[in-house]
Amino acid sequence: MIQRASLHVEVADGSFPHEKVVTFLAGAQKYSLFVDERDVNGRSIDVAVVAFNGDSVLIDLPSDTFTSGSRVWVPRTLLELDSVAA
Amino acid sequence: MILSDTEIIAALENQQIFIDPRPTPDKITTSAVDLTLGDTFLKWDFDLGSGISFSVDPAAIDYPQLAAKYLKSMPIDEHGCVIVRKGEFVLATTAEYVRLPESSRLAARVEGRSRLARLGLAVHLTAPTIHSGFRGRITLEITNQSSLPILLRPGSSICQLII
Repeated sequence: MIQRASLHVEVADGSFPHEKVVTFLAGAQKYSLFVDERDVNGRSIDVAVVAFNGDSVLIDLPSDTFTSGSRVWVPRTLLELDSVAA
Repeated sequence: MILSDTEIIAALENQQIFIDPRPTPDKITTSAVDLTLGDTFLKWDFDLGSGISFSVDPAAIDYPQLAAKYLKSMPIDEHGCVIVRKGEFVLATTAEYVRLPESSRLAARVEGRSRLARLGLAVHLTAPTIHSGFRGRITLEITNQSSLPILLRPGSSICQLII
């Protein structure tokens, strides 16, 4: 079972009509990525949890960020964890 | 390993792959799923006027801000089609929304169609991998590498997903 979580993000319009730009801050690092509008739930997106390290959580995003890949460390405070299977 | 047609159908049935709208049987080939072209076409427009130089640092750009400023919708004809001219670079998406759940441990590659390649049309620019966990419409980086103007028609078969 893969643990899921909701990641708190800022949401703005994307380049295509069906997409949104979501942005979040992980420490000093700002991440942005495009996601489909159907994957935005208010001001959060669904992510998969990969690992924990203290107060940091390694997550898989639904697509690549512009500054790195789709797997990033974020503060636990940005997440609402649940245990629903993918 | 590449999924065969029967394995693709089983994966769709078991929700190991999610494609919306679901491909009709004629869109599933022996080892791939045909995907179709969406209806929005974008093009970078860096016409800044004379005497102004501009370069992009991929490590430092704010991509959404850059896109909001310089990525423009292409004019479409009465049928929703656009013409891609020699050397032009166009961003589009598949009409289909694709999801590869992490739990399925399946990844995919998007590839062009040979009939389009023969015309000089490429549908991705070194970014063919669809990772496990991906959700969304697949972005296509379309280039016309021939001297022939090529018409892009929304809903036409544009690429194939190999899983």
